[in-house]
Amino acid sequence: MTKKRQVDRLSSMSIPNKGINILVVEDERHLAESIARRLQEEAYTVDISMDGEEGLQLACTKKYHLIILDILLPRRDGLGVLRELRRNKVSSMVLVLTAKSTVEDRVEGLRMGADDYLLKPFAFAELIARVESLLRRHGVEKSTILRVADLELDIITRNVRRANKSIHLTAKEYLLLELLMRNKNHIMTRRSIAEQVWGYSFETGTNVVDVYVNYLRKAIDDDFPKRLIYTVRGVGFVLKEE
Amino acid sequence: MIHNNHSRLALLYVLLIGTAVLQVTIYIVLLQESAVNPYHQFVRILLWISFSFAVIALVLIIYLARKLHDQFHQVIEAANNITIDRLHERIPEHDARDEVGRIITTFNVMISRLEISFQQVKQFSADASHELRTPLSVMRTQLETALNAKASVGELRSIVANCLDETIRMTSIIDNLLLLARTDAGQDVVKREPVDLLKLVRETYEESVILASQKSITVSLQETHAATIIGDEQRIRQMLLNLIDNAIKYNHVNGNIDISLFRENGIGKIRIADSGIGIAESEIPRIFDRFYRVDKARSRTLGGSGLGLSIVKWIVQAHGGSIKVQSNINQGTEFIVSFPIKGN
Repeated sequence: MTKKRQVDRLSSMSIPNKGINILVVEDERHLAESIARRLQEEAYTVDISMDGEEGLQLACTKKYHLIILDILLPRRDGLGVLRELRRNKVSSMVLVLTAKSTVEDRVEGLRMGADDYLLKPFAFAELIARVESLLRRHGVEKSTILRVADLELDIITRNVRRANKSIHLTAKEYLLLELLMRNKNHIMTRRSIAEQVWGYSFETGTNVVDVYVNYLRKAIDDDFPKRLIYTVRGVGFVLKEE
Repeated sequence: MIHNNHSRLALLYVLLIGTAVLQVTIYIVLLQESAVNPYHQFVRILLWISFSFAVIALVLIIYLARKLHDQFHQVIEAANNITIDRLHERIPEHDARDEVGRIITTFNVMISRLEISFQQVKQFSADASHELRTPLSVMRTQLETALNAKASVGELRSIVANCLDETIRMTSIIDNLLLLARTDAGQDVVKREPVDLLKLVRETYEESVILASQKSITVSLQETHAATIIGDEQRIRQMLLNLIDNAIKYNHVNGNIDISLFRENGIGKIRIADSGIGIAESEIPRIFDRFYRVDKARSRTLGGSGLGLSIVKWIVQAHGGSIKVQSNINQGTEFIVSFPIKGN
């Protein structure tokens, strides 16, 4: 039994390493591995631990900038891990994952020294956004710019530029672009976009999403030689650099 | 006529004490008076009479007290026997005019209420499981199909996307269920911020035009007054979209939807009227019930969780508002939501 599972670096893509270490303590193997994979795509270095005791030891011996911590864990639960971490003066930021939605559970986690919490099930864009925001708050992550090819989006000033040309977007178009950029190379289904941009899953259909994707195309693709937004038939939309 | 056993007992106690006092008084008088007192014989008779009254009162007291005790005992026995599996049983009622009868009636009414709410909880759990089973079965079938060794990347992508959408649907059902459970428990979950209803109605209108175009339905924004309320913008938006979703879902192709926002005596009213299939009068009281569907088979193909209108009603009530429905079969349905306006 290895004490630490270093997740294989994705071989298919060459991704720069930001030198930011993240520990994922989550006993559901598939969930842990998917989280690690997505974080690696964002150029973070990720370790996984599948139980609370091991996670605690790892967190105490290696310097992590951020720990993503599940609450229900074997051997030692997440809140127990959190308490020990803070008692041992481990200063890593902690993002708690929880399936419980009651206010008391969240308050308990934050009271124990968690920096943020995220309710399961979550969308990856949300997880990445929370991770970035925590790292930024503590000065670890400095960039506020999402970048795909020559398209840039500043999540603080909400400025969008392509090839150094400023682009004006409406509030909904901006949210849609931010979502597509956070999920670059990942196809987004219409329902998933509706849920994350509108906060509402349209029951009668998702053609609203098509209409707004077209607005967005006009704004960011039409005047440029290389397009970035693609329709994947029968699936959804993807923002990628061909 | 006194029907109250406690009053009867009290009366008998008074009688008993009264006769006892009378007897003691007479006895003292007898001791002091001489034997030649002309009233001597009369006083002796009086003594006997009061003594008999005392005995009768005592017997009656014992009888009544025992009767009360027995009746209470029966009530306790019967109440003990009514367990969660036997909520249909009732405590046998007798003369409802005395207090034991009233206690039994009160108990029985309480058991009826318990039976109804217990029934609702059972129905709710069954419905909730069923609602979650549907997306699960879609996912299972699709995923098993996907594992075909000859499936193409395109097919696989499309199946994965469908399954993702089903998980989003399930999450939304569970979120709604938790929301309703939390509000049942009396936890306040709405924000209290100024909400510009006009802006919200205009935004929702723009989205509904796009949504409705799929069925060639014309949406028109009629009267629009400015109105600001205190509440939760995201929830009000959810409420509007739920009502519009219904107005499209249960409408005919080429139908109409009218949206308006107007003020009336310090009340902001949002009206959403459609030219759809309508709701039968007998169904209207139930449309806000959780998981209630007018046409079960039809609703299934149209999607939705059967929680939409329950959520709508909750959102309206959480904002101190009210909702009215008027409908005619094959002519359409009109929902009017009223909110108290800020500063009025």
